[in-house]
Order: sequence, then C-alpha cells, then structure tokens
Amino acid sequence: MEFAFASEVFRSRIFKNNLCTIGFGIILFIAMLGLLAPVIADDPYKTNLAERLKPPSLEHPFGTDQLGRDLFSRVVHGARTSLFVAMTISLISMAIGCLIGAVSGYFGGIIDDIIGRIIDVFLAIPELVFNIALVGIFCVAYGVSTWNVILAVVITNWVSYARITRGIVLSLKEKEFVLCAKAIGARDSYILLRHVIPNAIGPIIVLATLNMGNVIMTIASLGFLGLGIQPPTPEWGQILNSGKNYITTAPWITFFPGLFIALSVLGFNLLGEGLRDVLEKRTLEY
Amino acid sequence: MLKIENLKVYFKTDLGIVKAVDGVDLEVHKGERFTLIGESGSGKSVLAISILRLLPKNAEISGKIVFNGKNLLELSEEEMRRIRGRKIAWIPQSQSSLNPVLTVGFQSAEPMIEHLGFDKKSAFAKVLRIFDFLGIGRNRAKDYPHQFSGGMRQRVLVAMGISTSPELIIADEPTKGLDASKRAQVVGLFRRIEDRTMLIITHDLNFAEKLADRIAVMYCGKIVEVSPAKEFFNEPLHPYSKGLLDSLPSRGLKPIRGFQPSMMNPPSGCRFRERCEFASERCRREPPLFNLNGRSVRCWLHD
Repeated sequence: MEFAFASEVFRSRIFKNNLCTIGFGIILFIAMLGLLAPVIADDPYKTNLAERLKPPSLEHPFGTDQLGRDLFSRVVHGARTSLFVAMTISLISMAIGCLIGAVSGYFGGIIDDIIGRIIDVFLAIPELVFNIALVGIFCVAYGVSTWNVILAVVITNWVSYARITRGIVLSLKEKEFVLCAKAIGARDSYILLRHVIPNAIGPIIVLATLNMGNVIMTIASLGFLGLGIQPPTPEWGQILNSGKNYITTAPWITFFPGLFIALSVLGFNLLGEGLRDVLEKRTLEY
Repeated sequence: MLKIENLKVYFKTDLGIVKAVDGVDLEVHKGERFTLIGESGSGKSVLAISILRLLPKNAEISGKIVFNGKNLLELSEEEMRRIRGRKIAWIPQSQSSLNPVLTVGFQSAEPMIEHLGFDKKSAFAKVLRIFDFLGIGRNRAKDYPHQFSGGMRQRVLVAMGISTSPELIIADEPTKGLDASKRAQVVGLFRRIEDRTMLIITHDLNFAEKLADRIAVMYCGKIVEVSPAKEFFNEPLHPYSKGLLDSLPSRGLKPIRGFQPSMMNPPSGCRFRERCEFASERCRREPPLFNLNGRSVRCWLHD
C-alpha cells in the first residue's frame, strides 16, 4: 500500500490533511529560500565594517551582524547548510538503523539480544552530551570538519530507527506473506529487503520526518556551543552564538536565525504528525 | 513420488504438548490429485507445512517425508530452499498471503526469478501468459493485491504456484472464505491444471468430490481412511467418514454428535470412539490401518 504513495489518491489524502499541508508549505518555503540563495541573496561572507550592527532596512532586510555581513544572506545560506546536513544525517541513520533493527527483529534469538542491549546503552546516555563528547573526540582525531558533526549525530540517531523498525518487523514476520515467500524458496536476505522492509516504510517515513526536526535542533545546538559547523560557513546555531553578545543592542542577529530554526522544526513536526494521521488511518482501513 | 511415513509433529506450548500430527502414513502417486479432508484443527494444514519444513520453531517433527527418494527431513536448509517453490509448490490459504506492497505480477514472477534463472523481463512475460491461462487477464499484472477480490487473489496464488512447473503442488484450503459461485470457479481453475500432481487440503467435501482421485480422511492427527474418491463418496468405510458425509446438507444434514477432543490429551485407543455410534470394548485398543482391496481404514469394524 505504501507504493500507492505515487498514486493520485494518496497524494490527495496527504494534502487533505491540514497539518501535512502547513508543514509541507513551511518546509518548501525554507527549502526554496535555501535553493535560491545565490540568486536572491548577497555573498554571506562579505564583511563591511562601516555597516556593522545595522537594524533591518530595505537594503538589509534582516539587518547586519557585528562584522557588517548581510544577515539575510547568512540566514538563507544557513538554510542550505542546515537542511543539507540534517538530510544527510537522517538518510544515513535511517539506512543503518532500519537494517540493524530489521535484522534484529527478523532473526531474533541471540542477535536480537545483543542488538537490543546495544540500543539500551545508547538510549541511556543523554543525546546531546554524547554528541558533544563524540564531536570532541573526532576533532582531536581527524581535525575540524562538517563530517564530525554528521558522524557524531548519526551515531546517536540510528538507534530510534532501529528500535521502531525492530518492532514493526517483529509483527510483520508472522504475516502469511512472509511464510508464502519462504514457501517459494526465497532467501532470508531477499525476504527481509523485498518483502518485510517495504511494508515497514510508512512508520519509518513518519519517524524520519519527525526526526528531521530533532536533527536540525541538534545541529543548531552544537553550532551554538561552538562545536558544530565552523565559521565562516553560515549556520543558524553558530549565528545565534555570535549574536548573543549583542542581544541588547542588536537583537535581530539572534532573532532571525532563531526564527528559522523554530520554523523549520515546526514544519517537520507538523508534516510528521500529519503523515502519521494519514498513514495510520490508512493502515487501519486496510 | 511423495511418501510420508510415521510423521509426528508435536508443538510444545505452555499448556502442554499439542500432538497436531501423530503418526501419519500416506503416499501421493505421480499425476494424481490426492485430497486430504478433515475438520478444522485436525492437523491437515500442519501436515502440509511440515512437508515444506516451514513449521514454527516450537514444533518437533519426526518420521520420514520421502520425496523422489530423498528424505526431506534430512536435507540441509539450503537444499530445502531449492526444493520449495521449484519442486514442491505451496498454494497457501487465500486472503493475506500476498504482499500488499508488491504487484501481483511481480510476486508471481518471483519463483521463476529465484529458481529458473529468469530475468525480470522474461519472467514477467511468462506471468502474462499464465495470467491469461488462468483467466486473471494480463492487464491486471501491474495491480496490487488490495485491488483484487478473494477469488482473484486465489488465482494469483495458483499462478505463483504453477509458474515453475513444480512436480508437486500442495494447495491448502483453496476454497476457504469463498462463496459457492467462487468455489465453482476454483474447481474450474484446478481442472485447468489437472495434469499436475496435487495434494489438496480441504474441509470442503463438495470441492473434494469434484476434484479428488483419492481421498484421505484425517481425524485428530491421524489418518482414519484412505480411499479412491468414487468409492469413498459411495460407501465410506470409517464411521467418522460416514458422519462427515451425513452432515452434508445434500445428505441429510446430520451432525456428528460431540466435539473433536483436545489435541493435548486425545482419548486412548481409537480417537473417535467417544463420538462413534459403533463403539465397543475393543475400541479401547488403538486400531491399526486395515487394508481392504485398495482402500485402507483405521477401524476395528473392518478387522
């Protein structure tokens, strides 16, 4: 039924859901700003000390920062960074988590026990603290790079995918079509990839969407702590950090990146909630 | 071609051991339609699944299942996998045996891709021919299972089963959940593939009468009678077989008194004796399978 995703019926179902439509609209808006950044915005790296800390105006819609850089350009280019990094993290952790979770649920036994304990360990450590430690280790080991952030967040993030996928696969493997696939002589790996995981894709999509919001928050948090994507690359959390010293004199430096963080998280959460309504209702009907 | 000797399948549960199949002997000859009938819960589906060795983990299986001279219970998992769907096809009970997210055409092509080395294109081309042959229609190959009715899904399952030209087809309750007119269609469907060796499992006596060459009756995990179909319907030997036939609407709608006993502790001796109108003292001992010119029956009446 998830393949019906492509069908007109299914699309209309998604857009009939208000949460979905609003969430999707917000994300589309931010993504378009990010995509069109080179066209609609100036160079985010160009400093102009004569124009520093200027309030929003026609020339600088979001004002300028302490180095006189146009804040609109930095925020819009920051959307590219945030969305790209968050998407990369989500896709990698989804692939890893789903595979591990599916193997764990499908084969059961000792494999399941071992993976289950590993998941428990990861869940027991507060995510952000773990991320900070990992980024620190990677910086020492490999030097500063965006991949440190991606890797660190993937390491804590795959767990939720694994947990969800394991649960779904546990119930799916008892279905008759799995027995039927075994009866035509299919291999376990084939059954898992072709028959079981595609049936779990609905809840996984919901999780991935909700998870995007979390990941954007985590990236921004790391950026704010100075551990994330390093300046001068524009990134929302890091712009917030640089603006915090001027919060009384130039609040727009913190306001606009903060607004965009909030909007994008809201967008993904709304879309995720909406998709959950659509997909779960659909499952019940079937 | 298929010979089952003293097959026992026990399930260990928290409440005790369920003896679903308890010492079954039977033989399916090449080219015949062998039909296994019995009430729900008599162990016939378990018997079918045990031939393919797809029982759940808590099952214990013993005895012999000899297929083309090889004991299937001694094969490795990989050897068994090459037999499933290639040499022995299983047509499962309808409804949810098709994967909801894959097209029926693809699912019917899977056995050929897996076992015969077909690429997707040629497998799909053959599926279209089979769909035409079975009256599904080639234009429906790209549809999903939820777009099909129960009867059509049954046809897809048959298409899946026959696609690799297996030597033996096991059909598990092919008429389950279908109404009378659809049942007639399934009979027609199975007549189309009647040149194949089939083991049909059903509790639908009318269906069995129309298709079977030989009939075996299963009661409480044991085979109580094996007869050629015509003789069986004219003159059943075992009192249970008689009871089954008499409970048909066309033959008087007389139900068998009592209930099927629990499979955990079935009665000693003949398992039917508590419901049997001919029961006597000697039924306390278990009757062997008596042979009477081509038929066999597990009842002291025919000693």
